[in-house]
Amino acid sequence: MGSGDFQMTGSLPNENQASPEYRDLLDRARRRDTDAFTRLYDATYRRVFSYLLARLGVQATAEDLLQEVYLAALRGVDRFRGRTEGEFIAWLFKIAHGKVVDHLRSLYRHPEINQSDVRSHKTVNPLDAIDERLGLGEIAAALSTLTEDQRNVVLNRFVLGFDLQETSQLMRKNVGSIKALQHRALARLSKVLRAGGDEHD
Amino acid sequence: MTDNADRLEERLAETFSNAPLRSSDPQLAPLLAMARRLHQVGDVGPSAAAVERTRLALLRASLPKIRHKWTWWPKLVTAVPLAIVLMIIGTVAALAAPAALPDSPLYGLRNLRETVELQLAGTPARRAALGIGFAQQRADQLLGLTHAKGSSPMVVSTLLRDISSRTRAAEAEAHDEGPAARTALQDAEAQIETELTQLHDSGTLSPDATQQLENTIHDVQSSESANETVPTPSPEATTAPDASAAPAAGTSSEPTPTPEPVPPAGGTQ
Repeated sequence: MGSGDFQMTGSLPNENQASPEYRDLLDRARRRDTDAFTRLYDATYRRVFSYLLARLGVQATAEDLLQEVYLAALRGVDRFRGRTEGEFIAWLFKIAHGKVVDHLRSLYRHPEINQSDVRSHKTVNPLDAIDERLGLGEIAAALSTLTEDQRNVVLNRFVLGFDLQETSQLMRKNVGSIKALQHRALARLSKVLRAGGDEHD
Repeated sequence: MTDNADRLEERLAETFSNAPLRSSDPQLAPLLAMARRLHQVGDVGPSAAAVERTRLALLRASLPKIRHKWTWWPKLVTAVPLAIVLMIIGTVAALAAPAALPDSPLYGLRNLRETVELQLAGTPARRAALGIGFAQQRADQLLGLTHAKGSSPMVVSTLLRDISSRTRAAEAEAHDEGPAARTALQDAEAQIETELTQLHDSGTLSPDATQQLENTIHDVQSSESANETVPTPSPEATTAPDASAAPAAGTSSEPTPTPEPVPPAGGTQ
């Protein structure tokens, strides 16, 4: 990582090294050791939730999908072949991505159900204040206008807190490409959100 | 573009390290604002209730698997001893069946086992030898029972009936066989007749049982005589009263009433 790179929430420990402890934890989780899987959950749920929240824009929905993601991971952990924490998180994001796509598809297919769902959230869920204050819905909508690579770069870097090097390894792209994608993504997002804001004004 | 991307990265580093911004860049300012806004999203965590709810869901999802993993143990613990007990019972029954008497539940198993053995025997001569052997066993048992004075009428009646039927069946099997098979059959029949005659002479049986015993002796004698006459009719055989009077062996299901008393022991030897 260059001296000019920023790092927000800290990188993953042993990102690219298969530490014996983590490997043992994963092996135990594969053997359906509930305690081991719970430890993996405790270590990763925050990032998975941030990903879901940024993509969906509704805290309550993100919390529901968080449960679905980990239940799916529990069901499929014996098939997971990775050995490092980075590989495990990448696998979780892949599951989370699938859940987000399924959810957005169901929103598209059944808009009437989901509108009422949103209304009920607005009346009973105190977390909506957070959604509204941060404009989570707008951000999620703006993110959906980006290309997949652009979206993954901004999610990895600003929401999930991976540094340039980690993002480059997670996305299997060189650092220069990540910087370029990041620039284009932020420019696009600010343009979309400004335009949205102008419309509201 | 590359320069812009690099400059953005530098400004981002300044922004998130809380270091004072070295210069304001109107072009990059909205991008930095956007990055800060996204960063705020990353700061939002799930509610404690949601975290616990998911944790409980994971525990619940794990439980059925654990239960499923161990449910075969109780079944195995029950099934293995049960299988062992059944094997022991089966073995004991199979071993005990050959000596079972008609008042025993195993007597049916004995008859079944004998029938299977007869069907598995390869040749008629072998079947004849087996069949007469089974009749011989019953004659031995009958004699032993009357000596011990512990026989019930039903046991005596069934044993006598089965001696007759086994003897007739053996005779039918040996009918077209060679002299060796017929001679062996005759020897066995003579021994059975001797034992039954001893029993008759002991006078320990009831009148009904004695009557049935006489009929059985007659059946055995008829078989012996028929055996002697079939291959090469001899003058002795044709003059024997029982041989001429007896029907073909194995064709009569009921014993023919005997008009004359049974000859004394050793009379046919």
